[in-house]
Amino acid sequence: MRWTIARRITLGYAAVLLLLAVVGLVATYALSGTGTALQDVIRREELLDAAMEARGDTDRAVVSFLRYFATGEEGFIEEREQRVREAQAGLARLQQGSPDAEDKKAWGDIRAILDAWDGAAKAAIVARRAGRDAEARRITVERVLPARDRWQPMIREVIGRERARTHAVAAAAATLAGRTQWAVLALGGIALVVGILLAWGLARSIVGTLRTSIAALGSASAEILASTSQQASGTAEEATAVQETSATIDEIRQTAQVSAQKARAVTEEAQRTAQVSQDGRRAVEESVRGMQDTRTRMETIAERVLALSEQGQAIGEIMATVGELAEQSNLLAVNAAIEAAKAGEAGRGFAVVAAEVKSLAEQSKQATAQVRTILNEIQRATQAAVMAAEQGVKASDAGLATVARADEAIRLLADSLTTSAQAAQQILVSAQQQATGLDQVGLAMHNVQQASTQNMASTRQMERAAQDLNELAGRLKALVVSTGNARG
Amino acid sequence: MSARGAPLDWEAAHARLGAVRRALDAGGAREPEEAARVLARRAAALAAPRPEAPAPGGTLELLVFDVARGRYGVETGHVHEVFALDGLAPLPGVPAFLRGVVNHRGRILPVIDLGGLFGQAREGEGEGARVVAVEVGAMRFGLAADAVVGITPVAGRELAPPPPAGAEAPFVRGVTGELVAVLALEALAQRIVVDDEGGRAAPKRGEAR
Repeated sequence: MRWTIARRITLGYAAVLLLLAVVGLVATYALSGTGTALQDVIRREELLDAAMEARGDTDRAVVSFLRYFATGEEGFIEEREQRVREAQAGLARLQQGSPDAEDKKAWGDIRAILDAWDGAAKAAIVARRAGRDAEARRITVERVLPARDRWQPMIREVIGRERARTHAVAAAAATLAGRTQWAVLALGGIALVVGILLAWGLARSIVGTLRTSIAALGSASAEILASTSQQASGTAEEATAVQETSATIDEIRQTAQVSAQKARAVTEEAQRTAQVSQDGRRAVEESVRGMQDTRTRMETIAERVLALSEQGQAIGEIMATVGELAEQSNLLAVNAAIEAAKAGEAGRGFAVVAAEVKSLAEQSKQATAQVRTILNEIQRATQAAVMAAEQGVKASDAGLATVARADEAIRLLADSLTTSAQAAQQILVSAQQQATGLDQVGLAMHNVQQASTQNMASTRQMERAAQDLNELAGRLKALVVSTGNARG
Repeated sequence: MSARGAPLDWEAAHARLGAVRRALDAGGAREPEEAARVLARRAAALAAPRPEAPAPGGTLELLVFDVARGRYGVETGHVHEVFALDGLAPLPGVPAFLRGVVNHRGRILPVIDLGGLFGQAREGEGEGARVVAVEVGAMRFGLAADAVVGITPVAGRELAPPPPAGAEAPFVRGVTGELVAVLALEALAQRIVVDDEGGRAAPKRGEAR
């Protein structure tokens, strides 16, 4: 079983204290016995005093009786009765307070004798008053004085017995006190010796343990000091690193905010551009409709122009007929003129008409020629118009194809813009999350910084404590070594 | 049509269309002032006093017509009719100046090409080619004409003799002041007849060229 120092010290002190308690108990017991004896002695002394008082009272009652008898003064009767009452009271108290049965009986007998004396005395007094002095004298001699002679030795005997008892009690108390003194002395000496022995043994065992412990404490405190110093420097480096990390996190957070702003701007721009592309697609659809409309109108124009051309052809046929008519009119006029010429003078007027008809026919012919020329021009113009319309239709077809490509391109652009917008949206969300996370990281780094600062402070405290410990170890070592040297 | 790139002036186009429509609504006639002017000119022409005819004996009524680059005249008394050259049937084995024959009112008429006869190149057959049917005695034949000019009175003393040198000299009576060669129809008829009788008329072929 391993005995710890505390347990050893406790047990040592407990042993010493046990011995001291025994000494105290013995002394207390002895003192209580002595006190009881003293109280007994005192009470018996009081009883003795009371007994002496009672004897005195009886004596004074007797004296008062005798004085009356001698003088015959009435005042002494009163005085005697007073004394008798006092003596009766004192005797009653004595009978009451006496511890011994023998004494009680003795005091009861004495009281009875006193009562008898009182009766005799009263009878003697009555006789005296009556002038019967002889009777009074006889009563006195026969009854009063013998009574007195009986109680006096009885009181003396009781007092003597009481005094003897008091002496015995005092002697016993003195004897007890002397034995107690010796016992206390002996026990105290034993306690002293045991205490010294325990102290010596404790010192021996504790100092041995303490020496090794202090040595270990010294080396351990030195190691703690060294490691604490290292920890202090490490903590300082850690604080620096934490500060740098916090600064870096701030920069990253700013970068994240910037990227979030950029992403937001990109998103808004993409939405605007998507709107623009929607407008562009609508415009393209409208232009497609417009171009189809234009195409239809151009085809209508071409059909109308073709109809015009056919009508021009009809006009040409009509004009051919008209030209033929003019030709025939011309021939008719020529032949009419010939006939008129053959008729000679009679046909002269007709010749003029024929010449006029011929002129008209020729004019008609010229007019038909002009119309033909105009029709040719119209034909060329209509041909050119149809060709132009055809080219226009082809151009509008090409334009439609181009517009369809543009529509496709705008659609692709809108799709890619939508994708870009979504990507930017995701970038925005992730940047916001990143900013939030960085805020949390910044907060955590702040806490780490605070903890590091506290850590540094506590490390410094620990360093100081280690130094104190080291010094303490040194001091303890010195103390123990000097003590051990002194002991050993 | 307007040139490419220049926008069409639609207001002007509408104005032009409106003008055309108004003109058509007016019945295609000329403007009233123009019509009045033409009518006045014709009235003046008709109302003008005609010059008195020249001396009766010396007046010739000529039907003037053009063949190739020459202008020729025929006395109206010999002219039977003028009709359009149509349905010409070329004849094989005849001289070049004989273009062919036509059926006119049930009679077969030979048609003579004066240009070919006089050694002038024929310049295609234009629109409105005519045949001037003439009668010489009992003989009737046609002269191909590019165009008929009309009937012109010519005084007999105005005729100048034809230039002696030339292929047409044997067939021309004279030349008027307007340089119209008056044909000698009898010579022409004789030539045709001679050719008819002489078969090939081989010596004349060089002349025909």
